[in-house]
Amino acid sequence: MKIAINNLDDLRKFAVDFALRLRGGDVVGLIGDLGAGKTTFVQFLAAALGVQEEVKSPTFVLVREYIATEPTAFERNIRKLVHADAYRLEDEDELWAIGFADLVDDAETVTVVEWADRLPALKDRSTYHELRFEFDIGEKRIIDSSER
Amino acid sequence: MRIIGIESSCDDSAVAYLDIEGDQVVRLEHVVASQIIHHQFGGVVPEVAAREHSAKMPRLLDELAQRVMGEENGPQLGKLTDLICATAGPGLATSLRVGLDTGRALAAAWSKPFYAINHIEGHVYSNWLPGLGQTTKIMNEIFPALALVVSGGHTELLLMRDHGDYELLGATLDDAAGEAFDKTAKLMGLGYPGGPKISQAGASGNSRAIDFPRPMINSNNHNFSFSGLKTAVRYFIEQNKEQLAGSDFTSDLAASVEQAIVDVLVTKTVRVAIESGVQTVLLAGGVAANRKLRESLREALAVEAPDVAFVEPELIYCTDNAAMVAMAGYWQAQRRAGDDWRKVEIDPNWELGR
Repeated sequence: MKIAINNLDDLRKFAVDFALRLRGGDVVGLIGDLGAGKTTFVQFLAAALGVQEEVKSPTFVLVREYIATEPTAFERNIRKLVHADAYRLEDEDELWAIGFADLVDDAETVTVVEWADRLPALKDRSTYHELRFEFDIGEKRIIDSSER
Repeated sequence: MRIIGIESSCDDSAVAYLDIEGDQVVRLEHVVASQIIHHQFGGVVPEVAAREHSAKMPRLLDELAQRVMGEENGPQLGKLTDLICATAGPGLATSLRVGLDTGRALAAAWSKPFYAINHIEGHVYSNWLPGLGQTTKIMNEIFPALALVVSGGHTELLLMRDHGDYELLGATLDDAAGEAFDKTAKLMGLGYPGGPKISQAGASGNSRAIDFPRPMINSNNHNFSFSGLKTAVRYFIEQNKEQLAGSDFTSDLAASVEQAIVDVLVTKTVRVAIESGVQTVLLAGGVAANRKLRESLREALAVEAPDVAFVEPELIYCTDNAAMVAMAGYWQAQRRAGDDWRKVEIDPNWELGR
């Protein structure tokens, strides 16, 4: 399913809607080139889940964890947001080697991974959503959404 | 006072031994894992190996002990140590845990005080580390100071009223400056690490050739934002493909991108320095090694705030290292008793000054 994103407001609305469809244990893969809007999407998603801290780019740190405080998120068993970035990884084993599996497996955690195309193993997860960010004209983007 | 510092907050791990007598650094040994592994693997470091901190830590300490004590007496290192400190955050949880646990294991085994150190504070204290051949970097009456800490993972403006007294005045809202260098370098096909590659490529270029956006440069908000620069560079490259085939234009592009990043860092830092009435500006972090940043900041302060002193770290201490952690630990120890090694925890989201 393709969604037209014309501006930041559209992206925020999409993120809010998307957040409502998530449940604890879900894994979301974000695929798209530099500047496509992946991190910005996560910032809006985190806000929708009631994360109080500012979400920044996880490129260097690789993985960051945040606490969800939104009551509607609790209803769907979401207590934590894990934000990971595979951009700097040369081998998918690296992420598993740093204990990423423990975070992803947690039933009360929603895990969002940027550059998810570098981690094919994610697709094996029982609830995996994939969002592909494509460039349109100027600031516009198209998000191609698929679920498993 | 003899301090062992341990740093393992993200990619690299490092250990250091720092001996300070009076205001003199009488001994400084430091070992960085990526340099040891470099030898072991004959120059090509597999990424997975680079991040296996738990395997590296004993080797690092062994190497340190040998350097400090000589080969036979390495095991006696604890007898010549007064305190241990280790980075507890911010950073990657699994990396931090290895460093912190190693540190407190030593503190427990040797019955020494232990200090959990903030990685950003470590960077600030890189400015107190003396250069080669020097024994001290006396910094008297530098407070209040403003520290600009810029690296691949961090970009922050910290007001330092005194040792240990910080207030976070501004930070990046998205990408760190070092990350901006890396990603724009990638877009330009320049390779890694982005900062040095861009500096190199842009050395002969015209930094005013292209006017890239300087996000938030005029706002009174003290925060930074570099993610918009990525899209601007990307868009520019797409629109100017033919022109970019010529190497002159590529060097203009690189120089202009570097200028845009540096302008934002310098403009905001100088403005905040004047507004907050500081006596000193301290630079720190991996991006502090960027020559254009160092020179531009120095010049801008000389012109706009001539009474403000500018301090920059020795180049070898700009990137992550344990010597800066040990120095931060020294100053912590002047003001407070250590942390309880039984209770201390990592804090991957630890924010200095908030």
